[in-house]
Amino acid sequence: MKPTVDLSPRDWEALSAYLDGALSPRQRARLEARLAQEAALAQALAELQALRAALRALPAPRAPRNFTLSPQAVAPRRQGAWWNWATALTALLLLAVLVADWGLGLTRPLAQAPMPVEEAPSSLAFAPQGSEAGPATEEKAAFAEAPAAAEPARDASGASGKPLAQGGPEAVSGAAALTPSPSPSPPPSPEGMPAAPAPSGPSSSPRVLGWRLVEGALALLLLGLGFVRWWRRRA
Amino acid sequence: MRLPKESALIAAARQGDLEAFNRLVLAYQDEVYALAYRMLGDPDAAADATQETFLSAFRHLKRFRGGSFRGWLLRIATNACYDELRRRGRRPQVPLEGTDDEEMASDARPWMADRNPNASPEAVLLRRELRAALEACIGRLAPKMRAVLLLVDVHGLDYAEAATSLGLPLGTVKSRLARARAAMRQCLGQFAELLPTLYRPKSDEAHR
Repeated sequence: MKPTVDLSPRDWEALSAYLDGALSPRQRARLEARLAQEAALAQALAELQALRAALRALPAPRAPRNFTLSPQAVAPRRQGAWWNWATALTALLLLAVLVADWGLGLTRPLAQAPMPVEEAPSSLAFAPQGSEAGPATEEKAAFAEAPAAAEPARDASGASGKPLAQGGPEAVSGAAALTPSPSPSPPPSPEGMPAAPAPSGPSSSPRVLGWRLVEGALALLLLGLGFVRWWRRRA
Repeated sequence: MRLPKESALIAAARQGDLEAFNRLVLAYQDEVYALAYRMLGDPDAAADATQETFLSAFRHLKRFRGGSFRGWLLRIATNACYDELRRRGRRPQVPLEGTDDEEMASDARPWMADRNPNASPEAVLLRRELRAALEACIGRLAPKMRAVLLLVDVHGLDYAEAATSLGLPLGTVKSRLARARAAMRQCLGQFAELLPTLYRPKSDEAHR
């Protein structure tokens, strides 16, 4: 009664299928002929039969409680829908902001183009406009002022810089630093992000910075929502 | 006999009739739970997977394209179990050494009680040990093989039903089942003292 039979995987498969009546008539006839002659094969079949009988006879565990769904249990779907809406809304908002930003960034210079670059009040304002300005000195100036300019510039320009609010082409270059548009000269400052908006005019920089912040925040939110959804689906 | 009623319930549930769906739940919860319990080897996880199965079935009822509702449910249940197994990693859930605990636990569960009250104590003990051995060996199978073995050998699905339930080609079901059975046989070989019990059906058949 020792189960010492060692069969090839093919034989096992044939026996297993035979047990379930899943062999073709020809295969079955061949296997039955072998079963009549090979005791090992016959014993393996008997063991498989016994195994299957024992498995079928296993007492089935019954459900320990009822798993009927309550209306509340079905409700979490709303939560999922809420997430869907939030994600879609954020994506739409980001799109709208991008369109508005691009629209403004593209139309403003066209409308206010006459604003001449040379009339800029300080070298600081136009430092990264590399094509027409001496890069080395002005970059340094921008660099030196950048930390201070980045934050207070918002207040200062908000108060004083209104007339200059429609920046020149610099506004475009500021926007180009973030958006993939064919800008010939991205700001050379190594502190690209904070320095870029600052030098593009004391008045337009906070606005551009504001756009960047809104866009960045929306993009982050969207990423976060996407991540949460992915995580929940996974968990 | 069950079919027309069942399809009516499904149709109603598809319209959002939760009560109709819950009648289907009551009809199938034992079977779904049994599959989950044997797949996961743990009552709590099995209950979670069962709940998850019915929740998911209700939500995706529109995707049910006719055919065997039972097979469809068992497919969702199998997937829920795969998810749970993936989540918990690959530690074995039914350790062989734990058979004593298993037995004590199963004594506490009325549904595990032996069916034949007239059997001798020795026979009862042997059967219980055999059951524990079977469960331990099922727990040792790779989940993919376990699922096939459970669906065909425990739940009695035929190859085609199992293939549908698992989303596998027929040939894959066939070969996985053969491997699962061979592995079971080898695993049970370690419980040598149980083998007479296990293989008694063979001698019965020989006498026939």
